[in-house]
Amino acid sequence: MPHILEADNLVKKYGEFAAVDGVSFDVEEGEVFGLLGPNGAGKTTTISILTGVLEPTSGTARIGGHDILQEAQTVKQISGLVPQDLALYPTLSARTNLEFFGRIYGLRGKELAERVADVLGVVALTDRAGDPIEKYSGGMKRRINIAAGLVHQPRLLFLDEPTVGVDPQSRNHIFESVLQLNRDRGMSIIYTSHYMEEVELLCNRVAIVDRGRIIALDTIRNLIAVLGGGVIQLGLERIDDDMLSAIRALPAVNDANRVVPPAPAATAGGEPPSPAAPTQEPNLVKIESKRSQDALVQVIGYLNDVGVAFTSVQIFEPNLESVFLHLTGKSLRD
Amino acid sequence: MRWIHIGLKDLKVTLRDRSATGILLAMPMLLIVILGSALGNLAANISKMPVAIVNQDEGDVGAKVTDAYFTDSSLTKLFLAKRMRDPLAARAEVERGDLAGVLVVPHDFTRRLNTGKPSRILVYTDPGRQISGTVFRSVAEGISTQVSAASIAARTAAFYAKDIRVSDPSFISAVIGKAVQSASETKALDAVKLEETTAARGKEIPMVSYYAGGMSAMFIMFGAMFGAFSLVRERDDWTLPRMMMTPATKMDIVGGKMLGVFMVGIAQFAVLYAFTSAIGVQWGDPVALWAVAISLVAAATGMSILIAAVGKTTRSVSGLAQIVIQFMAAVGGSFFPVSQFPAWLQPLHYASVNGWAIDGILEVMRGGGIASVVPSIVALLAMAFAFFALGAWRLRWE
Repeated sequence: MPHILEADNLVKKYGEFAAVDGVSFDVEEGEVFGLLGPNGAGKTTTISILTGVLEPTSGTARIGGHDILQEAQTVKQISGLVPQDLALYPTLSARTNLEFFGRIYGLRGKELAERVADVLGVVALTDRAGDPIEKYSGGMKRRINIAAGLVHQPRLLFLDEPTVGVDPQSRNHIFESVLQLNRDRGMSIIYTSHYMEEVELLCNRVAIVDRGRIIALDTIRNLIAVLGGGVIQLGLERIDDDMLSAIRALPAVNDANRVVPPAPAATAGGEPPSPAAPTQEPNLVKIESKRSQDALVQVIGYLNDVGVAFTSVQIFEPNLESVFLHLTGKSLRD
Repeated sequence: MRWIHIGLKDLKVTLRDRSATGILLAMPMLLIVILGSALGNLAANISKMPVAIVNQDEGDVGAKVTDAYFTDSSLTKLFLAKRMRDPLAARAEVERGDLAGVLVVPHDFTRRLNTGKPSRILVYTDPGRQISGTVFRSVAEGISTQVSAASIAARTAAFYAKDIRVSDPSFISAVIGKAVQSASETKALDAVKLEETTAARGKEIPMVSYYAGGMSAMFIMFGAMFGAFSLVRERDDWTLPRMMMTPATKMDIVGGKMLGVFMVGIAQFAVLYAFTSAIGVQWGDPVALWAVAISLVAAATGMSILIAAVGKTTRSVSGLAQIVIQFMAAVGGSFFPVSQFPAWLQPLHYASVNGWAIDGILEVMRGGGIASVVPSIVALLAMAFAFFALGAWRLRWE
């Protein structure tokens, strides 16, 4: 599969601070590629370089085989950006906004009208096209923001955190639009987010970005395989050190530890928690295992042998959140 | 032609913004009517009238006449007089509106008086300052009457004195009485003739017309502030980066933004022109007027890029624009005629867009044609170029 994008050692510095620090990656034609990282990781700066908004301090990239600096005009015709912020004119109607951006891309007359009608259909806002954008809901504004990036039919679309502040219904609509553009029109998409669920749902491959660097890049399956398994959390009738040692010794178990419940939080007014609030389970045990199902069977067998009942069971399958935690030691939402 | 689409978009955005149209159109209309009505006849009395005194007399009577403007407390309260040597230079200052009037005492003034020939004092006034002109003329008339009377008295006394004997006091009294009698004769008062002309600048300019020009200049500058806002807001709202990732070049974007500000300014002036014409303002030659207006809007457009480049954020643009616009409006004469300023402050109006624009507009209102507004047009276009060059150089894109 040919590459629609090849980024090579991109660097963007502001004084001594490197917002992007040697980023290299490739995106295949027709792929949905994710850039996952917390706020401030360098995702938007990377996209801004690739879309010609910012000049890199060093490094280069090619889009559709064209150098982003030497052949900027060609690159801009084949790529589109949906910025994180609503980059629209709120007092103008959706149609006027789309027509304006279409004209800037060189579209005229019938072709412009057809493209505008098409993208309004993609984001399902044809009926409201004449309304000023300032009268739209947050989700509708996001959808028109996407439409403005599609009006010139780019081969590569950059979607920068397109669901921030969006209600669940609009979020689902955006997901459907992204999948439809990729599936039906073969559009390559680079999707940045700090929502692990979105990237898992939409992307074929993911680059995990932290502090301006790509710290991991692979398919989601392969990234998760780094962790090698999941976590079982059991609530027990009682637990002691001998029992923990015995559980650790089971063949399918890697490790087992008591979970220290967090201290009860005071209410906003500084009063003690309400007696009606659910109490924390005192005897929680976290069991790490490469094969969660096998480990669960063995642990339950052991508990039957020692006559200890369990009060709750939760199985946490590994995901990108836990991969990020594993790689950086911090949460995506930190 | 992407810049044209960007400019048209900006025009649409501004016209859809009710607060912007209110500030750019409704406010100047209101102020023109209010200030024009309220200050209709007051402006001439706000401060001392600036006048020039040119004494070319080779004798001593001219000096006595003109010294009064600098020594007589009743006159120094009224006039801010300055001595000038060249009557043509003094008339030019009246024509520019810098002086309310000029009094010229000719070189043979004393000689003609002493030889009994009629003499004259020339008074040249600004028709745009009706009250100032009337006061200046009246004072000059009073002086000419005094000189005439003294001259006749002296000549009469001299005529009879050659026959008198000094030891006869009653005869001296009779001579003086005869002199007074002669001095009171109407014909004798014509010994000094007051020759009055007014600056050849056409009709008087009512204050409502003055403020039509002054407020138009000021609010077109406010339009420039909106242009600067628009550029910075596009940067903050990501519409500028979005445009930058289209095939539009930086020149397209700057050109489009300038076109937007320019079109808003032209539309603004067209509306104010129509409104003020409807309430009776006579702007004069439309070709000359629009040449000044277009130059004014060009300077304001250049200013918008400079403010956006220096201001960087919407808050700093707002603060900076307010300072620049208020300063230019104040020293340029948008609030009060520059001629009412102290002499030391008046030259400052050449440092402002408003000053040059108002100079040009008043020139047209007084009947001037395109040739008479060339200095204003050249100055405004030079400012437009300088502001744009500085602004484009300092403009921040990221």
